[in-house]
Amino acid sequence: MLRAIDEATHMSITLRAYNVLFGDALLVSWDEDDGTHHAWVDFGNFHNDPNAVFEKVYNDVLTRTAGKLDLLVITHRHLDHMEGFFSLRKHFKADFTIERVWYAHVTPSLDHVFEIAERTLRSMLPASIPDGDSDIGRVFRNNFGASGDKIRQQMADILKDIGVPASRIFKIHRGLNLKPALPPGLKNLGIEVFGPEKNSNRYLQPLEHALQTRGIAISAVNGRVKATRRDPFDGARSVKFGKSSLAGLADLARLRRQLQSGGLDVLGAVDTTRNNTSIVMRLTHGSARLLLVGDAEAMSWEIMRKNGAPLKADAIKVGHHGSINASPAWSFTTVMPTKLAGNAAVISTDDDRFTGENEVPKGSVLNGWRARLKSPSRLLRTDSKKLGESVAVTLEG
Amino acid sequence: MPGLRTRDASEPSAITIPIIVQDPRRTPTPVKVSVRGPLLAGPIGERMAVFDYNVDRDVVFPPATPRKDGSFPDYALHDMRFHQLNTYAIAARATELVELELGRPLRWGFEGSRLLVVPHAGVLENAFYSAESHSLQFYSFMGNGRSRRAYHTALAHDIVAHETGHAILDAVRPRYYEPFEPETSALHEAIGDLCAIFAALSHEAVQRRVAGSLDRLNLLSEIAEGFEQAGVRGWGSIRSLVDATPADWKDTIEPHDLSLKLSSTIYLALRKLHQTLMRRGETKLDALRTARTVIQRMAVRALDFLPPADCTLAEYAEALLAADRSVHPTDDSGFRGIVHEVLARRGLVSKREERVDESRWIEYPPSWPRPSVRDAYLFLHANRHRLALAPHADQRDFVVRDVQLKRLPTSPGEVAQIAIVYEYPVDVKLALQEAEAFGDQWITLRGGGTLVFDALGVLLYEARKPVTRERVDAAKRFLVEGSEESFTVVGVSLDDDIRRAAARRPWIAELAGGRLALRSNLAACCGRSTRPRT
Repeated sequence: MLRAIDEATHMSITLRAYNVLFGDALLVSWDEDDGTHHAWVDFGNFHNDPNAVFEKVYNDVLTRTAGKLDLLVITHRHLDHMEGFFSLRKHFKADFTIERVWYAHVTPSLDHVFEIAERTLRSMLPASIPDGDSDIGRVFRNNFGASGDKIRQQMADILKDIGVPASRIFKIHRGLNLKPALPPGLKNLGIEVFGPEKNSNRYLQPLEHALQTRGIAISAVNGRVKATRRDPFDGARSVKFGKSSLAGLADLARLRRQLQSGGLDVLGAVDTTRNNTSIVMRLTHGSARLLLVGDAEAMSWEIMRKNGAPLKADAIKVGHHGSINASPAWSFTTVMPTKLAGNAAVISTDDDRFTGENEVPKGSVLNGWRARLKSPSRLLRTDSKKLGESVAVTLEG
Repeated sequence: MPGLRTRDASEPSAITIPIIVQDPRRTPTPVKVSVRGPLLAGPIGERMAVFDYNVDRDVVFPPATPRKDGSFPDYALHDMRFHQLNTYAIAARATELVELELGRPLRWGFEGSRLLVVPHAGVLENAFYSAESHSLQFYSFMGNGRSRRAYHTALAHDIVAHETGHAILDAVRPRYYEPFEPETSALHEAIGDLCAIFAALSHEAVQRRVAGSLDRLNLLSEIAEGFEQAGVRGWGSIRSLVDATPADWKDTIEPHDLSLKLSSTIYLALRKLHQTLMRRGETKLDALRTARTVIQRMAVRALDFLPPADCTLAEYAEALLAADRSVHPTDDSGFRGIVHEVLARRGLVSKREERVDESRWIEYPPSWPRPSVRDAYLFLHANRHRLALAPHADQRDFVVRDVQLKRLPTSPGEVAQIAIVYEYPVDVKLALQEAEAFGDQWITLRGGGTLVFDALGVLLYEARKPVTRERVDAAKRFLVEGSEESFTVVGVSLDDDIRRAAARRPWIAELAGGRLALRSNLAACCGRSTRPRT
């Protein structure tokens, strides 16, 4: 049965989602024999979204948890899931005791591919885009970090500064023996991990294809990823456009400008690949099941389905802020085969941020989850609350 | 005038150029063809200019350069200059073929005299026509097979002719680039494929290869054979006109799939004619040549009989029959009857022949049969109650979009037919349901019609396209149904420029100034059909 948090009684699990603009910040709280325990899952928002909200959320979590966290999870390496942790990382050591930190396992070679993709993108997108305040610029930085502040380094800085010894930090993937990675004293909560895969290259196909169609082939050489530019024009005699006799022709300028645009395919593929490396986990507390999917997109869902992952749950944190690419049509009934009064769906989103074909949250996704709920009010959106405030659902086990 | 040299337009100096007549792997030996000259280095001709710019490397490949006598050297197949000449010659011949059948020169659908041809634009599995940049863009990619060979779309005869077909239809009916009717985009694709098969059939080498195999997979029926490593039964084509069945276009608005409804039907008509002619005693090869001439003539002449906007496949089929009827009223050979039967069987036309009102109109201008645009307007104005202007026949403003003076091979030099195209805009506010997807926007539907007269002023055909309640409802349905999967929505920011350039969906919905405009995204063409094939 679903009830408001203030009505929660013994043996319940609560999912709280904060309005951090466009991003995720989740607090999961459950009852153990010695009291309430907590896991903080993701904390971030889109690059250039105001960071002032982080402090309010941080203080709220601190108050609710009294500074004791069983688990801190960074589902994947995107700023809208980790920038809050990064910007406040040096406070954690003093304020929190954290038993375990989990972050998504990524095959090292994938980082090399991302580096290749970033270099490719910088040559393909207009120079003003990566650092500019446009949607595409922000998606770029969400994936790669800002200039001089690389996302890979930010992740390393979080792990270094957050005040948890390396022995208690775990790279999580499906199939990993979770026993040492679980917080001590966990009796009433079960945690299953369905993703990501240990071999991240399984998620690489869209990015490989996007690069390949641009003439860039990825191969592994001595354990290191190598990009080779092998295009159909190898060996052909050519002259740099600027030095050619055609350079001064004004009527060719429009054609050249049009040809020089592009790159969105590669950026989209990077975004998808990172999303698919999200930690997907199901928390079981008594009979209550809560599914947290990060931003896992369709490919990750398909792999989980093929693996026979038991995705059934009473409540879900809807993937990727309600995007069309993270709630496959079959997922609604697979997760919630029966329309029960206790079913709930929570979406961390910011309405009107993306519209048109990239509308987020997508109407069909909202409808899909709504159709699995007894009451439309069980679909909770963070953007229904003021900045820094939260929505919450409680499931009784 | 003494001292001035004038060009004799009837005898342009022909230039011989070797080309690949289908796909380099299936027809590797170049065949020499003629195009109108003279040509400058590029090659650059009167109507087209090859500009071999490569965006990925920001380089220009040196152009094919003619000798002093105007001829070009024999470049090797792998030489970029061979590709330049190949692309130019295929595109130029396809255009010349259409102009010959239409009986009039084409004027491109954009402001400019030359169509830019870019044979090696970059690395992509694509090729497309872009009216915005006045160009045909051909990309190249590395194949996926074991050999990882380069595939240059500029060397694929079907692809070059198909993209030229887009430019040709855009020249004839520029409004088809901005449809509120999904079948109009399908027509664009079908004309591209028909252009590809007619251009292929102009080569004797192809005729000989396919004359005995029209009813199974063959060089002609397979569009861009070799584009994929393994496609339908190993042919690797993008589309198959002989294999297509109604299941391929059922319940879809995707233009490539939907186009098969028309292109495969025209192909079927070609086969039926071929069989009929053989039964009448012609050899396989002669029967093919005759069938090709008949079908090509009908299919191309239909273009001048089309309505100004939002054309459906059925309207094209009607125009095809009407175009033939206009020159062969009695169908003595029975060819039109055969084609009519095939079109009717596929549900594209009704079984009975349409007849038009042949009564005289009023106030023909003295300049008839060579009316200027202004004369044509005054003539239509005097007859406005007979036009598709209702319900505001008196008040409705309209423009004469085009006056096409057509000659026929049987009457060279004489104007045999006059096609007048008129149109007007109707603004429609989106209702709540459509506004959910696009916001509070206006759309503009185009009404109007096409009138084809003979030189004496007898109306031969009328394609009416009023803006009816049904059309408005259908346009709104299209917007709602397409918004989820078929449209790339763009505004006016730099981000939108990038989105537009990367768009691979069939239509681009442009939002600016409270107005929603749809554009066919021809960059979505030359891609593989996503529908499963068996």
